[in-house]
Amino acid sequence: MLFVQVMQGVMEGIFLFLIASGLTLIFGVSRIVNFAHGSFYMVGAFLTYQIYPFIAEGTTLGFFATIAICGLLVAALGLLFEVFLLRRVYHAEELMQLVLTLAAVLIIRDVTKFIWGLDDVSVSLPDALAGAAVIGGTYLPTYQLVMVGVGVAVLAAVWSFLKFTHAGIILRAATDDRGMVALLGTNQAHVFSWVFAIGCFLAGIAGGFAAAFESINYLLDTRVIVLAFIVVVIGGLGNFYGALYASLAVGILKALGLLFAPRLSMVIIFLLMAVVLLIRSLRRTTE
Amino acid sequence: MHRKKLLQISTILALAVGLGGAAQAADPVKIGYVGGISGPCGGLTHSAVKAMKIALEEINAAGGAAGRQVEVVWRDSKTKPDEGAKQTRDLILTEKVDVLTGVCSSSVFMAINPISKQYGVPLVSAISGTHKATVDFGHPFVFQTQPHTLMEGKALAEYAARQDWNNIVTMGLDYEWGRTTVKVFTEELAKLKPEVKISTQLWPRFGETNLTSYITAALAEEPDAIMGVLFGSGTNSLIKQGRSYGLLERTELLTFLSTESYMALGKDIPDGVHGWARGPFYALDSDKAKAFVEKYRKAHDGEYPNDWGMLAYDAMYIIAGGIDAAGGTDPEKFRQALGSTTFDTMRGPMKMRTIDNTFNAPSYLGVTMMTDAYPFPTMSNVTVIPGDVTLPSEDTVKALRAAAAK
Repeated sequence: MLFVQVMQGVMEGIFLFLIASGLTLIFGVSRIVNFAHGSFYMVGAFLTYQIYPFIAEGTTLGFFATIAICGLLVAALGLLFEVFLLRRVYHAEELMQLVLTLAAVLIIRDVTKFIWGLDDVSVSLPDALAGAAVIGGTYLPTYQLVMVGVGVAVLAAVWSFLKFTHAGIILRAATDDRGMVALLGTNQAHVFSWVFAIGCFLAGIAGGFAAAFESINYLLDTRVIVLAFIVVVIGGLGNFYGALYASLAVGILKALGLLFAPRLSMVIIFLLMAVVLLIRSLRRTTE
Repeated sequence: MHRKKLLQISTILALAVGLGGAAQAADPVKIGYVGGISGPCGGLTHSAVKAMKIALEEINAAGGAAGRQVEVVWRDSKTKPDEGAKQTRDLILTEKVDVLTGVCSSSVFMAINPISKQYGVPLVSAISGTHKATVDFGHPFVFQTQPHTLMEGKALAEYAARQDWNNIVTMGLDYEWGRTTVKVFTEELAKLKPEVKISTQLWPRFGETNLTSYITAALAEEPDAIMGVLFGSGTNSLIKQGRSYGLLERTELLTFLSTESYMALGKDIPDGVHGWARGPFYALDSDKAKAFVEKYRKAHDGEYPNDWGMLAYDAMYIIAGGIDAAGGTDPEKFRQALGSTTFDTMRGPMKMRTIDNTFNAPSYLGVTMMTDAYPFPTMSNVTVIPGDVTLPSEDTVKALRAAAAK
């Protein structure tokens, strides 16, 4: 039982990581708290619902192709948002940035309502992914294993990108010291745009995966953003690897909490966040 | 000459005022609608609004209520208690409505209830499920036309007792509706079939849609059945995610399944889920229901009404019928009229009892099955548990009221 719930927690954690990684990447580089991240996630989910029937519905390949396409579409949308709107407030005070991303949340929600209506919609899983690997009475659902695989792939891709490519080096440098990067003659605007697009791509594919996992409606944006923010805060704002550890911790704590203290499992997560924040601030004051 | 003209004008004015006074008697009946047109209730409420508009047209075409035309002022509570309260006050004070209706979400209902009491304006809830407004904090002018949580909990227990289930896990959303329904269900089931064991109780957070950890925790108890008190996205996620865990092969599932879930999930709802509902159009074979469904579909591109649409349509007729029987909108007469009239609704004849102003609305339970009749699965072999069976006893009502008064 313990094993089942831990596995469950890992699977849920990785999915959280898919959502939170984009959020933390964007914050790390451009210092923008992007409230609209959940909205991009929602758009990814609805686009998957819309596009899947046209791309070999029911086949596994069609399903993944759909999600990839939706990720790219959401990335394009994010890029437009960044280039035409967000870019203009990088130098304004933080409040302005918050207001702008919050406005995006409201606009995207209303447009979603307008296009897809108020009712829940749902994407059927291709049959090949609907089963489970049964090991000694423990069910490991294929689809969730696939999501773990995707999470690991994203992790590996981002890690090697940061580690080995020139752009990655600039990114890491920009996270540490934006001013210095600018002084060395790198065009920050491009870095910000690309990171924003990558973050939105991650949100878009996470939304696509969610569409087949749960049922979606126009309130999906706020449903997910709270937990994503908790993860990002626990992991350290802008800390990519921190987000990974935090997602896993949150997922596992939730699953185990259900086993031992079913009524407290969410409280435990908030407690973890409080403790992490406390320790972090104590360390800062002692330094 | 001038004087003459002045006289003429004055006469005309006087006549106009006089006529105006006379016309006032035939002013339309004003109904204030407060509902969650947006916010979490949005997905349920849109069908309710469409249905009420159809009812309104029919009622007015047939001469209105008590000989007056009926007019509705629509307001959006955004499914927020404070917004609902604000809109209600405005409907009463500015719009001077005669009756209030709508209400989705228990918390909004509880926020509006004291305002209806304060101003003595009747409030007829069409959708909200909490019993607290009519039972615990009931007052002479609040009415409920659908089964509330105490009634549903009992209906579920009645149904579960008839099944071969001895070990049950409950999974209720962690808020008012989920908690009360699970509580009443377990209490009533213990009376009906004491040998049934509730092995664990799980409480998913409201709005949580990754239910996989709850599914594994529930299945670990190897229950005969899982009793889910979830709705909308919650129910949908439970069914979708349960599939990968072989949930339906390993146990049985009883959960709230109203029409919009069938429409959202379509064939993703497997055959054999035990569902419960409040107004499933496909299970109602009164002529009234059939005519309404046809009319609704014609007006809305072939879309079917959901449960909330059915309930709202009935509520509008109950309000108009009550005003008719009362011969006007006097709240006290309206109350008495509701208590002494049998209403011919889509869900069959319904009567209200006066102790808690609650109608004997039925609950519907059945097993899902995909048929050729609709593009989505529906419940077959529907068991109707009548409201007369599930209404709480007078003693219970008195005890709850005494406890609430403390």
